[in-house]
Amino acid sequence: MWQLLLESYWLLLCMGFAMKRQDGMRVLHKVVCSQAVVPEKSALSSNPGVLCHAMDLACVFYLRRVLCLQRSAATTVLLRRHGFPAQMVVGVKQKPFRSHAWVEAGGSIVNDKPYLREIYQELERC
Amino acid sequence: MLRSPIEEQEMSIILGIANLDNTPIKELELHRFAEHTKTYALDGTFVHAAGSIAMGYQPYHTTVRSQFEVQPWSDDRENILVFDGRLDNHSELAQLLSMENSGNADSLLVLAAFERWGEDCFERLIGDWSLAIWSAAQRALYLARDHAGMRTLFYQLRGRRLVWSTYLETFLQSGEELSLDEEFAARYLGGLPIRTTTPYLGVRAVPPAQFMRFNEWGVRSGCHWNHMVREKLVYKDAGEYDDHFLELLQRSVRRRDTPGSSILAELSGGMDSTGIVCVSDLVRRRNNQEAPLIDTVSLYDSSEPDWNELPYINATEKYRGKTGVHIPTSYLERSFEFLEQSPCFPYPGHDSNARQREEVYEAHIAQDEYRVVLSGIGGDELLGGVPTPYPDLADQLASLHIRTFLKRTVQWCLSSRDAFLPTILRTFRYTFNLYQHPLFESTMVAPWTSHRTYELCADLARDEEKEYARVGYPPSSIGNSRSWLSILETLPHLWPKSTVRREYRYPYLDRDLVEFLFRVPREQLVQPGRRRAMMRRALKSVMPLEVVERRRKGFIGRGPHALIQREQPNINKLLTSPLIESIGLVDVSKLKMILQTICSGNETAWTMAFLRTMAFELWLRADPGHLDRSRYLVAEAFNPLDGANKILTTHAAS
Repeated sequence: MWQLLLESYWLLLCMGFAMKRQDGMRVLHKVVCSQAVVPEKSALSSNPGVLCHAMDLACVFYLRRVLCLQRSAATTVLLRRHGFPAQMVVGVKQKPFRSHAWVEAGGSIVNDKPYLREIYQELERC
Repeated sequence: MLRSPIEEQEMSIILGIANLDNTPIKELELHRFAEHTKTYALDGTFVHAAGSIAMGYQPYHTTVRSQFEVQPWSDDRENILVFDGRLDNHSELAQLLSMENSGNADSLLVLAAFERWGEDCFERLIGDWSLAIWSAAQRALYLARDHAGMRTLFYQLRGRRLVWSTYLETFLQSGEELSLDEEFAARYLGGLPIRTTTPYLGVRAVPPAQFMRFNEWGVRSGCHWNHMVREKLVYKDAGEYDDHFLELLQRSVRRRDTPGSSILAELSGGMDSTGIVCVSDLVRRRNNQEAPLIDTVSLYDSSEPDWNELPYINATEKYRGKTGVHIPTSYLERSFEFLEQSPCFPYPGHDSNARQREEVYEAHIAQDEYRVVLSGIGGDELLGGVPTPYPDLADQLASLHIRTFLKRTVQWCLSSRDAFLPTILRTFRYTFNLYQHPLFESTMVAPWTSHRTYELCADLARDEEKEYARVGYPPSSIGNSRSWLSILETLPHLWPKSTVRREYRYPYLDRDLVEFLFRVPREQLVQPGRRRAMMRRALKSVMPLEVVERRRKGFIGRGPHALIQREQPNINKLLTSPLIESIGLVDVSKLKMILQTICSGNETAWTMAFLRTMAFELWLRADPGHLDRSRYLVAEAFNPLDGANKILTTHAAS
């Protein structure tokens, strides 16, 4: 678990650094899209839940509150590196205007409330 | 004279006059006074005058025991009482007083209790009540309300003459013009709690959980119940808290779901109202499997994306095997068009179509002649409220349970995806802020208030903060106190309708239940990722699963914005030369800026406050002459006897 925790923390730092750049959103998008799904599942985890929990713990001990985009981008990359075909989804709702990002794997939301699709309209996925 | 008098009144009224300089009063005088509420006195008017005191009672019976009432009561010692309400502990009181319970009215028990214990009797009265007692021995008049103010009682002291009444309309019918109370206006427009103020200078509400004593030497008030607690209950396991909660909730519902009147329960689809309805079914069917179930009424708005309550309402009705009345509603039914013949309400808050909406509501339910409404108000705040970690963490911190504090911080952070160190810092800040005062911040007041109104709001908020004790109380108790006071502002019977006013009963505000809930450790009520933890555990076998496991609370988000955007032309007309600006309450330019923000589709926290302000403007315009705006005054400190004594307030020991 410590290894997963450190890896998650590192990914959060990378995503945080990417977001700070002037073209941060584009860089983030590119980083996530460029991460291919590793063909074989990692020995460290047998299901996405363990990886998501490691990411949640890393968020708890991060320097500041981790927002949904940074967390979901890092989680997507983490899952793909461990053999899970995850996708980051960005959704919006209109009144009042809100956007949110989450991760889906196998057709289910893995890192957030399961009913988010009822609240937000999907804008893009990568 | 009201333009549109209340058509049907369904609550008892107590009223009276006391001349504190011992000038005699004749019954005829009170009869003339009672004429103003005679329209509502469907069961007659009963008056008693003795010396300088005259009391009146206009009953409307809602319980079996109320049929025994013969008021005003006067005993051998020339004490006189009028009592509006219901005693829940009448059996225990009768036993303590060595009196027969059956066949004795609640008012008789109250008078006997006052004779035995004096002022200390009020803390022994459990139920929903308000009363006026004249003590011949002390030559003093007492006005008092129950712990939550579930019956209204207003008073006005002019010189040496005290007048009181259940309803505000009584004070408007005297023919005298009243000044607008700037404190009320500041609170209302600034978004502060109203507390005991009314729109009319000099007319005040008796505070909940307090009594007021009037005599020729002055006025004194005292608390008979204190909502702040120091100790917490420690039970063996969570199941014991659940069992005790369920038992108290059943008792509370049983006290309020009484024979003697037709009762209607509000069923919103939320956990609170569903809990009351389902517990009522449990209680009714316990002794008689064939007993009819309580009737329900549900309002719904299918156009609100975040307030889709119909599935939960239907699930509950399917679970119960009984369908209730469904009434569609929408924020868009409101209007801010000023009509010359707008009905006048004693309180602001109504839009131009308020009366039509009430008539539609009554058309749906009136055929069953309901006298009582069961409401789930208060359940959310008392059973955990917003699932924030800070009250729980602050309790651990304040009691120096550091290991538990750190462990629970991690649990809360995992659940809310917050960071550990910032959460700890925020906990320290939250705890520190609870114990220091004043807690006033400029963001608490609506930004369009005039400078004078803003300063008044700031003074009121700071003075209020100083009144409440903090030292020696755990952080969650201070938080509970704030929740309790905010609940008391939202009770629907305080903002009565213009057509029918039924008796409201609030099972979650039962005194025994409230005292228990304030002593339950916070970690039982709310857990990380699990709001209403205790309520869900306790009621899971009583309520439908869909409601018990509701993921989140519904809220209205779209309607107010859409209403303002649609009504922009009417609102602009109102803002052309608004009365609220001419009497110095608001800065209209800032109000127009907020209107522009809302109509542009941008988010603002002030939408509801904006609607309230426009309702206030409509109310001022519709005033038929009760208010003398030319004498609009800055409210002075309340000075009951021509500059004499200050009101002394004593607080009950905790």
